[in-house]
Amino acid sequence: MRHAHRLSILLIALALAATACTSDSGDNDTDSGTAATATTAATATATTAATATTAATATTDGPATRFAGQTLLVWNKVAAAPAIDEVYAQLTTEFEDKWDVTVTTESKSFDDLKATVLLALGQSDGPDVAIVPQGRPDMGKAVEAGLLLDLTSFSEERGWPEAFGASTLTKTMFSADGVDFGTGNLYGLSPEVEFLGWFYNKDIFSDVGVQPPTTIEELDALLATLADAGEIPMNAGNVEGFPFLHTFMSTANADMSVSYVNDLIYGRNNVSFDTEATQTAAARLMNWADEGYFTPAFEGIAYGDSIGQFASGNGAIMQTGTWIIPDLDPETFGFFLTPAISGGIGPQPGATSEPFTVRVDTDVPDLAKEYIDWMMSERAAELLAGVGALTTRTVTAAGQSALAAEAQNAWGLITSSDQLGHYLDWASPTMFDTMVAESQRMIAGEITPDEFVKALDADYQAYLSGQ
Amino acid sequence: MPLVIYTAFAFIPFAATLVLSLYDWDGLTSPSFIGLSNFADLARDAVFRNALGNNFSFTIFYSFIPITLALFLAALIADSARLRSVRIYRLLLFVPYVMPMVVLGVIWRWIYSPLSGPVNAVITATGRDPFPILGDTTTALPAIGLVGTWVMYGFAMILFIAGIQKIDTALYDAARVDGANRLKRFRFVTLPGLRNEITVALIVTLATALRVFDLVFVMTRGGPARSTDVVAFYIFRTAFNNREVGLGAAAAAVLVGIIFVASLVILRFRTSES
Repeated sequence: MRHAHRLSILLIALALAATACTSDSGDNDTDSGTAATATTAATATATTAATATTAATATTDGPATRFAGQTLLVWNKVAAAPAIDEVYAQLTTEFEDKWDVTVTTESKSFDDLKATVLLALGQSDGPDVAIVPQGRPDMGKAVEAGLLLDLTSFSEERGWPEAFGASTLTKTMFSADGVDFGTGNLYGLSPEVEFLGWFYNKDIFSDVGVQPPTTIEELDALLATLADAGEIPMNAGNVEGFPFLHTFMSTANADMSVSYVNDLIYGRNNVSFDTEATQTAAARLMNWADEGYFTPAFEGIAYGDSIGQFASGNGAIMQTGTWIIPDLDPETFGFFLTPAISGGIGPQPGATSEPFTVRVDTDVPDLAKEYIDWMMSERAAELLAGVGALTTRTVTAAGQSALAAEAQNAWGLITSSDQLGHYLDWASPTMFDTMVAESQRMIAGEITPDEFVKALDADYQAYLSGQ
Repeated sequence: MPLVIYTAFAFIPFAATLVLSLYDWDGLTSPSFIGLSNFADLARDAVFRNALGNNFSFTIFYSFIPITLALFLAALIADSARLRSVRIYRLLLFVPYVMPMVVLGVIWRWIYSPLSGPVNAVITATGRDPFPILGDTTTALPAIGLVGTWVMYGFAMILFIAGIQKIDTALYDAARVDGANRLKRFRFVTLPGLRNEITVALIVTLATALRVFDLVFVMTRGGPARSTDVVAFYIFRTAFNNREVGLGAAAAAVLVGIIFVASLVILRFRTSES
């Protein structure tokens, strides 16, 4: 008997574990038969679908009293640094005072947002403004389900395209049915940006007597010089798989045209992953690995540990994203973008942070749009830049560190020269997994760079043909 | 009451998972019924089959090695009245089992780290280059598996020590008088006496091996090159990252089915033994 009892406890535990992932969706399943169509707002809760309406057009009341007494619920994400959270709180207070409104902000972790925000946007009491993860699986789904308010005309009215650059905006644009990415309507924007680049240890560079490279051949030569000098040229840790991919994406992007990389990510014009740029980038990285330019045994080092290594002075260069800036001493470390083959810069992988969006059936659409516009304002950019954030709107801010200023200027160069590229794993829903697995096989010597690139293209073509 | 709780927290979610597994659903828009297509997709999916294969490899480390080891040690202490009564074992053995797997994953990731970990410290002290234990397709799975062995061995040992307390020492004395050596005493006294405990240990450790997620997520994210990918991580990726809820539910149903059948087989085996 006792064992039968234990077994039933075990089975309960098993069933819970196996179904925890779907328990909240299980409720929805019972509604699914009557669920709203894809064009109405609240598919997740059929009961509220009837309330879905499109946003009212802007009224013309005087600004200060226009929204007086209204309330706004905002789902923000927990920022990378507490100081950034404080800036958002301050900006929110200023917004409340300006419009005589009440804003309630709930800060969520990224994982929380990813798991819950789309369901919340389908609720009649859901957030009026919410951060939605970028890309097809989340934002694209939200558009397809009719959960988000189209901000296109509002953004044009407020001059966003001129202020932030066309390629910055395409990353949050979808056709109204959510099928076409990178085109159509604008559904959100973030005041912060993240992009990939190369951090270098100025002390090591001056000891060895080298400078940041201006062409990709100079980068090759630079790594060789650093290795000869007994330094670890490239600090790296690749247990999670994505750090090596970021280096691959950066060097591959730099060798493509913006229009090609856009076609690749947005699935247009039947382009291919098997190109000169991807082939060369993969071969170059494997050459670096063979030459021993990466930290010894980097395949077994966790990414977080590798940042710590670099920050404490090990390794001359670390290729990664601008999110590590808070971990680095701003006087010791410098920053450069991936140089293109012929010098200058090619497309650089990057994007705004996860964007603010507006729930389609919010009672306060105009206030919600004003809130986002406020977060995109010069005032917001100055405050955010002042605490070390990189901002979509390039500003000079008091208190910005030398390193952050260097990276911010690089962002300004990317947008002013219209060279914003893409994280290549956005190309298909399975591309990240494919890239991680195949690049690790390549590093292990199981496949060649050519086979690696062809494996990426196989994933991509399978996705395109299924579209 | 237990039936109500079971229905509310286990049966209904499980039934919902089974229903979901028959649909193509992104978690938002209307689901469409597609029959057993998700299961057919799983059968064709080399990534899923690889993950399932890795789960079976983990059963060696989570189940067979720790139970064998624990039985061996149980045999050593079983017929010694002095060793039987030492209580400190239980505390020491149980510590890994009660620690959250995520914490253990972080600790062991450090132990294996080429940067500062003790294992690589030994390797480099002998004049060799540091080795990427968690970054090599041949060593990553055994490295995670050994953590499972360490945890599950303690769990099995606790069960067996408790079981041994119930075996009358007179049985060992009688066996000795009859001329049974240590091996025979283990075979004919200890092993039958621990039959129930072995059953429980087998079911729990096998189920843990088949459900493993946290260690893999913290230590390798299923890499390198999918060499430590497991079904639970596959479910997580398909259902949440890719929003293929139906496919994730189908994979969950397969996993539960395998655990259920394995448990039934073990229980049937035990019943036929007794």
